Amino acid sequence: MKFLRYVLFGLAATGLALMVSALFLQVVSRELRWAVDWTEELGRFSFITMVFLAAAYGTLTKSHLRVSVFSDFIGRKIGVRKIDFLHTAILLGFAATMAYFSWYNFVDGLRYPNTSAALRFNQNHLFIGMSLGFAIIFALHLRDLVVLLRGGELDISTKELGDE
Amino acid sequence: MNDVYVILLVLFPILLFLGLPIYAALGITGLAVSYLTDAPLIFATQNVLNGLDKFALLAIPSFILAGNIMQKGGITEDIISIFRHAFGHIPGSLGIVTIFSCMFFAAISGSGPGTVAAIGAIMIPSMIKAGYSPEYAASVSATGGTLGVMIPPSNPLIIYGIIANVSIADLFAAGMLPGLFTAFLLAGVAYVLAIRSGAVIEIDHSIERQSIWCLIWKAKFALFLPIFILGGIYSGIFTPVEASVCAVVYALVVSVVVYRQLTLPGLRAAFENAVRLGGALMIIVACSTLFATVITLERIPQDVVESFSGITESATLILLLICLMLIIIGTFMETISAIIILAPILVPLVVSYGIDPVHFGIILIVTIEIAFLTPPLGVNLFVASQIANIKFERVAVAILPYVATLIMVMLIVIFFPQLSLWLPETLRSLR
Amino acid sequence: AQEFNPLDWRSVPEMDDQIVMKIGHSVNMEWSSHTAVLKRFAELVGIYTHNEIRAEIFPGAQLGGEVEMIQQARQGALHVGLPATNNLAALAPSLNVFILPYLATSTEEVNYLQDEITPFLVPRVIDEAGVRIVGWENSGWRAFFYKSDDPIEAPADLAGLKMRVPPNPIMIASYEAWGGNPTPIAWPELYNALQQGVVEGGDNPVTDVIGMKFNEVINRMTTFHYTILTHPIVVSEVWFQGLSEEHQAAILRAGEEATDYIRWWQPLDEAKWWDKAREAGVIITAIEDETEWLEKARAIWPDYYETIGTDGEAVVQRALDILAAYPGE
Ligand code: NA
Ligand code: NA
Repeated sequence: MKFLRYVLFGLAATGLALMVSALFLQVVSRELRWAVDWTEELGRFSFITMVFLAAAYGTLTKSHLRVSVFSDFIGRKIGVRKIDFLHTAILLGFAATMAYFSWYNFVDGLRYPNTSAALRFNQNHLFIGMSLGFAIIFALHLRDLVVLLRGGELDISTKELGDE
Repeated sequence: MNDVYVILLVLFPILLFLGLPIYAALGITGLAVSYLTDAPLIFATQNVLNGLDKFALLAIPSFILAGNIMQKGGITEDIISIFRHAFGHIPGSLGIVTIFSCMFFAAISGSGPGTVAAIGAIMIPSMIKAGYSPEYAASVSATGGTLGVMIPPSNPLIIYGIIANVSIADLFAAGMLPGLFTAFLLAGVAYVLAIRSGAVIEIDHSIERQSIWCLIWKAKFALFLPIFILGGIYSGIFTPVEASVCAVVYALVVSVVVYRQLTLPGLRAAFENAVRLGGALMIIVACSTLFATVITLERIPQDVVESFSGITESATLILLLICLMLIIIGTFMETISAIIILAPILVPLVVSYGIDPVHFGIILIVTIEIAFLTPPLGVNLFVASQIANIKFERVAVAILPYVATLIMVMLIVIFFPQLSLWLPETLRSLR
Repeated sequence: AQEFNPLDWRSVPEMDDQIVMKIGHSVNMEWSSHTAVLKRFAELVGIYTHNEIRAEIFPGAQLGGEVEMIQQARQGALHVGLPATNNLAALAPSLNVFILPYLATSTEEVNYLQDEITPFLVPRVIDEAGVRIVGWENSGWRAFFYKSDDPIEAPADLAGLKMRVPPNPIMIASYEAWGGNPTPIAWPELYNALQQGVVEGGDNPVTDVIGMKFNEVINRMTTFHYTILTHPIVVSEVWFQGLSEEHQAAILRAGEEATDYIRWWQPLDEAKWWDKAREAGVIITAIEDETEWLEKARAIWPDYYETIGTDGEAVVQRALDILAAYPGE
């Protein structure tokens, strides 16, 4: 898990850093009158990829936003495990659907390319990042399911990287 | 009532109440509606990805990153010392400072969540460190974000201006006074709430002993940041979105070269925060785009608005009804989508009642901003609660007094058209 | 938004077993040639199918950007779109032939080229992007809009101005050929960018410039003829193939007639927008001699044949042959 966490964080942080660098280069190149036309695209593509990897990272660190008042209340009545079980089952289905159909979009996009203006990049390749992100989310919930089926409890989030 | 309404009114709330992540509740609802209406699911996933393909969104993670670097690099602390020295004895001083920081920042940012991200990333950790409750810190920052779209520039007002065929310059001028008025009102609420909740900082004697000029001089590089950002934008060096990455670079340079406090683990922690918060927020935006698209394809918001025409003859009553409906629709749509979908139907309606479209633009903005502060889909709330690291429903409760204040602002804007219209009319007569 | 609506596409009554035709476009204005052509198309489809097909129009990019809407159309979630040719070219490279600067230099030539080359392009675009071109709309020649003390006259005048260029490789290359500074600025950011001087201008038809209120933040416009903004009316091929032969014929007929209609309507409308620009105090000049612009821009053509397709040069030759056969007015 620690390995996955470092890899996911590393990839998402790289995406963020690329995005910042690209847009900063855009400002600098405009001031210096260099004809650089691909910065906006690189910034957007890095951002989009970053978000899906970061969403997977958010699942790993349990930092997604949720309304937990009611589920906490029900959990106290019927047991936290039942609620966790329900969540895991629903999220498995959702993540699987999203991973499958975004992959399908990628494959469809090979047949019907969507070429960007400056980088000549087939933007449908961005669906790889989306599919990967949801596939990891699926895998993480699958692990939760195994833990629950074995009678264990789901761990609570660990916020800071490195304090494990 | 057809199946789609059942999904929206039953499935969506159930998923939320079950405590599923909000992005999943939005996504599952969107998928379910797509399936029911025979829209291919490949389209649904495409829509989620394209929801992120909006340039303005890039500013949110980079402002969060900039704020985190400033904090880890020690820049934030210097700014806060000045405020502590100058206003430390006033209850809620940092809350008031937050509101006014948002007001100034609003002059460069055209987006509400962007404003919360930029100011909150600096002020929320500082307030918590100074002993304020996380709820207080988060709610005051989330509220301050509403100023981001009232005070020009404003992305939603640009879109509205094009749809309503009114001058964007007039709209920008019209937002100015209500924006300033709101800022002072919110600062007052922050003060009162601080007295009641005990958000008072302990006097820090190590700071008290230094002279204020000494503190200001020490913080010169930190204080230069807003000048750098505002100056850069108004001299045309960068756009507001680009300003967010320039803030990152500036914070990095100052932290590393001047303060020499930023360590590698500190930088990693700053990125970690930005990735975690940015990811959690942006995936909600992505999934809410699918949600907005499917309800638009089903013409639900359009049908609701159209059911309003001819309901009353009173202009005031129709405005109040529209506002009520906007607040409800705004609970599950974000600002720009709501304006694009609703303004083309609303503008002819209000014009037929003799309401000035510039005036209506400001009413629309204030009202939709209120919706930004209300669950289930309240992006300002999400940003603030993520930064404060508390459950967002705790912020949703703490924010109620501010929401009440903004509703009062909304009523004042409705009943006193001159508050919006005086400035643009005066400026036009000067031209 | 308050003008009288002469076209009543909304009057098609709702009936059982009716086919709903979802039309998406990205324009926020109630009246422009984009909206007029689609309203006419929607109305004609209703008439020729005896109201068996009823249109719903989703304006203002409610459903997403232009490229996104075409992908939705390919997948069948949306049925009709009106993307700018330069945007559709991201999906259907063949259409880049229309983007070549100074290919045709009058509106009549452009119309003739569209009529003659479209039968050749239709199967190619279906193969490339999964949508069928059924008609065309012209929004007018792209004109420079900018903030400057002096008018643009020669290509060298561009050197001092930062110009926003649409995200199309050929358009970016045209600016570079003229020695300009093409800058990528997202369209929704452009008003603020112009106001604060991040860029000094860009090029768009007058309808867009005034419709987007850019007149509030620029002071000049300059007309020339390097490229015209056109929008094909495209229909989802998946959806089209699922229709009866009668319905298919009705769609094609409606597309042709909407094209004829808008070719009459658009010039009348454009004249009004130029009046509005003048009333707003925009100083309008024309480039009298376009020779230098034309020569520099045409020199980039060979570099971009491959963006049209592996047979790009042959496609361009076909277009040139058609234009050579143009009978004149
Ligand atoms: Na603003
Ligand atoms: Na809301």
